[in-house]
Amino acid sequence: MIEISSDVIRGYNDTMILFILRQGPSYGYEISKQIKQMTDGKYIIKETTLYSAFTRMEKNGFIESFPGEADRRTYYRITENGLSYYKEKCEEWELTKEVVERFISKSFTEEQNGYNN
Amino acid sequence: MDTIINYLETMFGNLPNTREVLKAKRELLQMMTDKYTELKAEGKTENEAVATVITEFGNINEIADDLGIDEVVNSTPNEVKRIVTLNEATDYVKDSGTAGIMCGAATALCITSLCGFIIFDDILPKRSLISAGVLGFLWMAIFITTAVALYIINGNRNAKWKFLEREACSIEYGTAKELQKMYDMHKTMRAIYISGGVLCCILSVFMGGFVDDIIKKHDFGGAAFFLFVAIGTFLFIRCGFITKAYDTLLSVNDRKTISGSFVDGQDDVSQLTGKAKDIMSVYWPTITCIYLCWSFLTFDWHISWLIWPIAAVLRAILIAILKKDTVSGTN
Repeated sequence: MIEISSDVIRGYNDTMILFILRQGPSYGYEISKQIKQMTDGKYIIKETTLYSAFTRMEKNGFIESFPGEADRRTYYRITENGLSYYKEKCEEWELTKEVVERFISKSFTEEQNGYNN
Repeated sequence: MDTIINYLETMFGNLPNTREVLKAKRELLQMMTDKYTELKAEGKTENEAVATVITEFGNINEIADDLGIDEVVNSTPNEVKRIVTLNEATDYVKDSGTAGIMCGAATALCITSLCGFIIFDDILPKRSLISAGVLGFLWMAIFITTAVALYIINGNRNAKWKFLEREACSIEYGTAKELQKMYDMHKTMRAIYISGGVLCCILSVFMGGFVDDIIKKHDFGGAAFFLFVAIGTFLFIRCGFITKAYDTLLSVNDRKTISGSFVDGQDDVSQLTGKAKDIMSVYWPTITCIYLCWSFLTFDWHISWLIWPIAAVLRAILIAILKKDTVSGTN
C-alpha cells in the first residue's frame, strides 16, 4: 500500500492545522482527529509532528495558545499573521500542484492511449 | 494507560529538566490520553489502544529542535549506563536493612562495652577471686571484638553494591515509581524509628536515676544510661541505612533530567513555591519545639511522642493542600 511520504507532507502540516483553526480554536487531539477524518484516514499526523508544528507556529506568531476553561488542555487559535500565512501557503500549493502535475502521468494505460492527443 | 505513561517517561527520561521539555511532555501526554480514551470508547481493547497510540506517537527527535535539546537527544545513545532493575533495587534495600541491623548492633555493642565495669563492680563481692576490673575488661574485649567482626562482615557483604556509587547507573521510570512507593511507606517507619531513637536518648538521661530508684540494692543507673543510648543509636543507624539506600537508588539518575526530577519528589515540598515552601521549612523545627515544650512541662513522655506520627500525617495533608494552591495559582 502506498503511504504518504513524510518529506512531501511536511511542508503542509502547517496548512492543515491552520485550515482547522480557521474554523475556531481547538486543541491537539481534536486537530489530529479532524485531519484523520478529512483525509479518510489516509494521513495520520504523529503527535510529535503536531506538537513541533504548534511550537514553531506559535514562535512565528501564526497561532496563539491559551488554557481551556473547562479542561486543562492547551487550546490554539489562529492569528492575523497566521491567516495571511495560510493564504500564502494555499497559493504556494496551487503553484506547486500545477507545476508537479505537468510531470505526472495519470496512469500508464492512459499515457499510452493518449499518445496522439 | 500505564504503558503509555511509561513509554513517554522513557522517551523523555534523558532530556534536560527545563520548562520547555516539561511542557512538551505534558502536552504530548494530553494528546495521547485523549487518543487512548477515544480508542477505548470505540471499543478497542487495551492492547490495541496502547499499540495505536504508541505507533502514532512519532519520533522524539522531531521536537528536539524546538526545545533546544538537539544536542542532548543526539548525544545520549553514546553514553551506556548500567540499568538497575527493580529486583536489584529491592535486594539492595533489603541488604541495606540487614546492614543497618548489623552496623547498628555493632555500634550498640561499642556503646555498651563499658557497662561491664559498672555491673561487675557492683555485683561482685568486695573480695572475690577475680577482680571486677578483669571481668569488666573481658566484657569490653568481647563486645568490641564482636562489634569489629560485625563491621568487617558487613563491609564485605555490601561490597557488591559498590557499583552503584562507582559506575554510571540509571533506573527506569517504572522502577523509580515503584521505589518511590516503597520509600513513602518507609517514611512512616522512619518516623517511628526516629521518634523511638529520640525517646531512648532523652530517657537515657532520666533512666539512670529511675533504675537506681527501683533497684535499690544495686547501682545499675550508669549501665541503664548506656543501654538506652545504645538502643537509640541502633534505631537511628538502622533507619538511616534504609533511608540512604532509597536516596542512593533514586538519585542515580541525573537530577537535571526528567527521570531524575521524578526522584526529587514531584509530590513533595520541592514542587511548592514561595510562601508554601517557607511554611514547610519551619514545620519540623516547630513540631520539635512543641514536642520538647510539652514533654518538659508536663513530663508526659509516654504520650508526647505521639506528636511525631501525627505530625507526619499532618505534613502530608498540608503539602497536598498547599500543592493544590500552587497548581491552581500557576494556571
